[in-house]
This record gives sequence, C-alpha cells and structure tokens, in this order.
Amino acid sequence: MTAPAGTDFSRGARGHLISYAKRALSAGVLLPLLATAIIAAPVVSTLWIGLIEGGGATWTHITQTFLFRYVIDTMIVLSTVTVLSLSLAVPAAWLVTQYEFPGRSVFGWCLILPLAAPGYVLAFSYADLLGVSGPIQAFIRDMTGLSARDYWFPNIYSRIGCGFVLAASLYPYVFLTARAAFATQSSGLLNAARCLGASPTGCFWRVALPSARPAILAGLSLALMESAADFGAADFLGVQTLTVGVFRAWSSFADPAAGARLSILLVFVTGWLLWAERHLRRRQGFASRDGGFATSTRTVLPPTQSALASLFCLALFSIGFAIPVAHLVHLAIDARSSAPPILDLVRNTFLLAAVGTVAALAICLPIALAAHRSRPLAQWMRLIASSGYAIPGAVLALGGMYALSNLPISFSGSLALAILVLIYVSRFSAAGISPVEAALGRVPPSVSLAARSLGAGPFRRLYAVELPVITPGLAVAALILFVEILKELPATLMLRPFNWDTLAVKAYAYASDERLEAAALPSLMITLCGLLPVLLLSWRLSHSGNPRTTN
Amino acid sequence: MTKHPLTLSGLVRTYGGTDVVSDVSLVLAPGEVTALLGPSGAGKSTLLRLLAGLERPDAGTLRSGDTILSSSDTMVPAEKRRIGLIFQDFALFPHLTALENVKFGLTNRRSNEASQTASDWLDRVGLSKRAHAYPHELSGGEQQRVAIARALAPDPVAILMDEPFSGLDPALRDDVRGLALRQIRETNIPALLVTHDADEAMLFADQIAVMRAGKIRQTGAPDEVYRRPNDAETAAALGAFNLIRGQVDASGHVSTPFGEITPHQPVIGPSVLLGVRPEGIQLSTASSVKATIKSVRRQGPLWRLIIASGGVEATMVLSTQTGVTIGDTVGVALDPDHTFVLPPAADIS
Repeated sequence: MTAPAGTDFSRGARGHLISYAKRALSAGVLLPLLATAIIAAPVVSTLWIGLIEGGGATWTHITQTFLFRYVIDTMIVLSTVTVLSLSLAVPAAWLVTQYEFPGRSVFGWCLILPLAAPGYVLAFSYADLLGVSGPIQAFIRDMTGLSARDYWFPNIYSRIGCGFVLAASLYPYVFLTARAAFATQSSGLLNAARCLGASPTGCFWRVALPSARPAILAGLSLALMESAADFGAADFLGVQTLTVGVFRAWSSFADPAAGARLSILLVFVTGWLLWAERHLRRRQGFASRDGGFATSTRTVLPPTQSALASLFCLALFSIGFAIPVAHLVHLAIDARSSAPPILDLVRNTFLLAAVGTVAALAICLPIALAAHRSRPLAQWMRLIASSGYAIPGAVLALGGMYALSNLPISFSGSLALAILVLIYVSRFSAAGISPVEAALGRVPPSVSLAARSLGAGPFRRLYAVELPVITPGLAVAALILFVEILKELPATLMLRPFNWDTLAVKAYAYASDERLEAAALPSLMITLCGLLPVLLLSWRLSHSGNPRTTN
Repeated sequence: MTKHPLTLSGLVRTYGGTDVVSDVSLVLAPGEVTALLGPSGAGKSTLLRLLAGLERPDAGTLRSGDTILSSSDTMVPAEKRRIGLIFQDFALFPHLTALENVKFGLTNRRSNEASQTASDWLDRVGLSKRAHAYPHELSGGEQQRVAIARALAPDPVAILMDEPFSGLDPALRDDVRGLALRQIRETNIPALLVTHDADEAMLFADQIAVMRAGKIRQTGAPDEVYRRPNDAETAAALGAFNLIRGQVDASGHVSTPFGEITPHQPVIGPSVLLGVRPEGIQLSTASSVKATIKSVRRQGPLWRLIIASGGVEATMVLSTQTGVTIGDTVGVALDPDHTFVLPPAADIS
C-alpha cells in the first residue's frame, strides 16, 4: 500500500483525511450513535415542543388554575412514599440480614414480590377493598351497626392514599438496596461497635444505618422516580400529580404542547432523582465490593421478639402483595361468569411487548458493546439512554401525539403502533442495557483483543465471542423489557389505535368505569407476568456467587 | 519457512501532548526473546499495543521482514497482523473449552485439521487431558498454558507477552515460564516479553531493552546491560549497586575507599562516580585497602555484608560467612568486570 514515487502531497493528505473519517464513522461508532439518537428522539422532541410551542392559552390557564395543585399533590405523594418506604423497608432489611427468626429466608425473597404488580393494580385492589362498599367497611358497619356517615375511615382516594399504594408497591427498591448494604457491611465494623459498648440498637443507629445511608437513599430515589412518573394509580385515585397534569393537558385540553411544557417541570424532578440515585450508588461502589449475602452469623432472637419480627415482615408482605393480590383473585373468581373476553387483549399485549422487546434489544446491543469496547462517546450514549428511563411514559407519548396530530395525512393505526414501539424503546432501553453490560463485564477487554490477535474481525468477534458470552444477559434483558412494556400504561393509553386495547389499558378502562371486578383478571395477568423477572432477580441475588470466577 | 525479524523504527504515541512512547527503535530477531524492562508507567504496555495493532502510532514504522505493518499511510488491523498475544489475565474465552480456545485462531484450515493442530498444541503444553475443560475449571497455570498454545497455534509472525507470568504464584511461575519460552524458541519467531522483573528478564531473554518515560534507554544482551549500564537508573533497573566516588590520577587510574581500578572506559576529571555491583567488591588478603565489617546477613543463597571504609559504606556478597565477623577489618579489592563508570548526571543522587 506504499504510495508510488511522485505522489503529490495533497493526495496523501486527502488519503489521510479519508482514512481518519472512515475510522471515525466506522460501524462500531455509527451504530451506537444511531441507537442513541433513536432513544433520545422522543425525549428531545417533547422537551423542544414544550419550550417552543407550549406557551399558548392552555398553558396560561394551567399555570393560573392547576399548577399549584399539581406541585402540592406531587410533593405530598412523594413525601408519603418516602416516610412509608423508609420506615417499613429499612427495618425489614435489618431484621432479615441480622437476625434469625421463623420465615426469615422466605421473607428474604418474598418481600421483593410487590415489584411484580404495577402501582395501578394495587390501587384498583385497595380502592375496592377499602372503599365504602368494600368488605372492610361493610364488616365494620355490620359489627357496629353504624352507617357509613357515622364513623371515620381513611380515604384511599386521597394524596396520602395514593402515597400508601405507591409505597406498598415500590418499597422493595429500598428493601433491596438496604439489604445489600447491611449484608455487605463488614461484620468487623459491627463487632468493633459492640466491643466499644454499643447495644444492638446502638449498632443500628450509630454504625449500620449511617454507613448504609447512600445505598438506602439510592433505593429511595428510584422508588420516588417511579412514584413521580406514575400515572395509573394517581389518576385512578383522583390525585392530581404533575404526571396526571401532563396527561390531562392532552386528554382534557387537547393541547399536547402545553402538556409538553408542563412535563419540563416533571422531567426536572425525575431527572434529578435518577441523578441522585446514580451519584449515591457510585459512592457506595467501593463499600460493597464483595457483593453476595454471606453474612457472618445472625443473632437468634428470643421467642417474643422473634414472633414480632416475623409478624412485621408478614405484615409488610401482606400489604405489598398478599392482600391486594388475594383480593383481586377473589374479585376475578366472583366475576368469572360475567367476565368480558380477554383473548384479544392478551394477543395484543404480547404482540406489542414482543415487538418492543426486540426493538429495544436491537438498540441496547450496540450501546452496550460500544461501552464495553470503550469507544469514544460511549459514556455519553449510556447517559442519554438512561435519561429516557427518567422520563415518564406520558411525557414521551406527548412528543408522539404531537407528531401524529400535526401530520398532513390522517395517521393509520400501524403508524401509531410504530411510534408506540419507539416510545417503549426510548423509555426502557436503559433497563436492557445494564444486564447486557453486566454480562459483558464478566469478560475482560483483553478477551476481545485476544480474538483480534487471532485474526477475528469485528463481525466474527461479535458472533463467536461476544454474543455467546452475553446470551444469558440478553435473555435477562429481554425478560425485563418484555414485562416493563407489558406493564406500561400512560403511553400505551395515549398512542394505541382505536380498538387496539392491551391488558393494562383495558384494566385501567374497566377500573375507571368502576367495574373493578372486570379489571381484576387483566390486572392479575399483568402481575403474574411481572412475577417472572422479580423471581429471577430474587433467585440471582440469593445465588450471587458468580460460578465462572477464575482461579 | 523463514521467519522475519520485527523492526520498530521511530515509533511515537502521544496522549494529550505527552509522548507515552517516544521515538522507539528496536529489532526483535527471530527465535530470540527480547525483554522490555521498565517500571509501571514507562510506556511498555502502550508499545505492545502499537505492535499488536490495537493502537495506531502517531509516527514511525513497524515492519515484519519487508512487510509494513504500520506507517504514516498504512495500518494493518490487529486481526490481519498474525501477531500472537499472551495476556497477564490469560483472556481465555469463557464460553469455549480449552481445545476450542486453541482452535479459535485456526480459521484458515479445515475443521478436522484445525482440531488436530489444536490438540497437538495442547499436547505440547501438557494439557491434552484437559482439552474439554472450560476455563473456569482450569487452574491458573493451566489457563496460562492454554493461552500460550492458543497464541502459538495459528503460526504467528511474532509473539508479544504482557507480564504473562506475574499472575501466577511463584512455585508455578518457573514451570510455566520455562515451558512457554521453550515453545516460543522452537517456533523460531521474534518474541517480546514485557516485564518489570529484572531477574525474569535476565534469566529468559536474549536481549533486554530498558524502557523509561517512553524511551528505550539501552538495548543489549542481559550480561552487557547488567555490567555496562549507560546510567544510574538503568543500572538500578537491573539490580542493586554501590554508588562510590573515586579520584582520577594522571594515568587514568581511579582510587576509591574500596580499592583502585582502571575503568573499562577512559575517564577524565579530578573525580568520577563509579557503580559497583555487590559482587564487584571482593575480599583480598593481599590488598592494602582495608574495610570494617558492619553487618553480615543471609540473603537467599548468599551472604550480604555491609562494609565501611573512609566514612563510606558499601554492600558486598559472599558465598560463605566463614572467617567473617562483625567488627573485623579485612582487605578488599574492586573487580573491574562488575564496576562501571556513571555519567556526571548521576551526581545529583
């Protein structure tokens, strides 16, 4: 390839430039860039529309009438979630890691199960359970002979009620991070505290809790981010959070641009929470190097305390999972003769989730690989991908709605579905990237270099080395993505074509029409699917010793 | 098939304005092992990445025989260079068995032929019984032997080793190292061994290139670099030495508190700095130069003495402690073969 004698300088320089451009724009850089752009598109377009077009009459109306209410409701819901999830999940995590009591190992995994049911499913169940005509109030009236007006009963259709429902479904985030932090705290630390005269309670308050604080707050940030992004539970319970406001701007005012402007505020909140979570987790990074749950020895509690510990964990599990799910089962069985057909819903849901999963995986893969091969910009691509995760589905859907409503042609259903898939990709790709990256992380970069030195080009490296190595990670990613998409409500509700309902959409529609018995079956099916990744997660955590460690 | 040398001329690699590899020229002869010796941060691993084709040099040329591997207008990608690599962390493919790992690079042959070659190689490194084991089932030494077979099986034009033995425990290291270097010599290709272990470099290399701050400071046979280092840092990289000032007389003799010598190279000036290896100071009953013994300690197979003369202390080694007692005064002499003249810059130390 040496240049023949007499080649002029400019040609050499041009060749240089071309070879530089070729390297800079090689598939290894271009594909992940394209993937990142696809993820960022709905985010950017919504925010852009909000900034440029969102300032019309509707916006003025919203700021003058509703905005204060949206902010206050959001704050009250988030505060309730904070207080409840901290006061329930942290003690449970401490009990499970430090003490031995009946059912401890079972609680270790079943306290995570509430993650399986989306907040709106719990809201449907609790609304029926605790409502005026629900079994509990009916029982009180039967016992006391009072009428509904004569006694006070907590109202689930309230901001605190919404916070309670969201805390019941999201406390496992705090439980998981707190448990991991407590379990990996060196027992030497606690022993040292004991030797210095601290009581077990003192150990908890003075040593264990402060050193686990970053992890606990990281879990809390995640729970709060999901709470702020929740649409189904808040809307159903009549709470006007910012997310509900964003949805209303579209559904009531038919002004997606105003909604988009409102969502800038919401994105500021969720984005800050996601940043806080990442930041806290990084600080935690060094403290818990060994991972795993091989805690030294657990203290065996005396009978009374042991019973209290079991009871506490049982209560937590019942509130988050057992009671609402059992009630839904009860409702579904009661309504089995009059239940509307569900087969179409299942088909639509699975089809949409499958297409969304494949699309999201195709987007995740180049970004995870680019990060693994430490390509330039890979860190930025990951950051952008995770920004999609911080943005509520309702917000992302607004960009899609706006695009559709401004198209000169009247859009067909399949175009709306394609945009919906794009929104899923944007929202959930981050959830798929991490398992793929984790799988890639098991292979040091030198493995890829070894393949190169043995003559393997980029394509062969991908199919002969990297893909086989990440297959388990891809499977996990696919499962997580599938279930996240299946549970997604607001974006699907806004963008699905007419008469193209999914389980989540129909459950929400039945519940909004106060046909909770009809909502029970689709809600249960969503929860059942949601159990799969949660059980997998819990299995992986309890078997966290990596079987393929060297030496 | 004739094997070609790997020729580096003027290689430069710059990160953010600093030369990590600065004007490196070196010839790696076929069938010889060249040790690239230097502290961490010297640029050894970067140089290795340039040779492997994992990074592009900012200037300079790399040739295998007459074939240009990289130059200002050519860059053969790593996967086309046929340069074998052996890593410190072994870098075995976790999803492939030992045999499949070795077979990975044998793509230009028919499958059964490739399998045969791969199992021959496993045999050569003594692992034919573990052919179907996965990397996580192999011990560290076994993993490294698979890595060696994998790198050599595709008949590479050169082999590069990045601290390949430092991950192994010392008992295992000698075995695996001996086996690896024997196999490499048999293939008769140029080999580069990146290491920070001077003993390893001297024991196994035919040529040592001492690298520091991105530059090759000295290249030569181990004995030559050890006994005739260019400067104090290179001398220290190869092993301990005494820094002793001597007075130069009119005829070029140098007298020191531990004896007189005529250096192997002419010296000028009223005084000169000498480097003296511990074995360069010898006991001599005939010598009129006397030193006092300050301490006697065992150091592995040898005895290490600290002696003092004229207010200067020096370290020497003996194979026996018979007749040596702390506080004794003994006659000493310098061995010119283990004494070298240091450039004036060493004055600062």
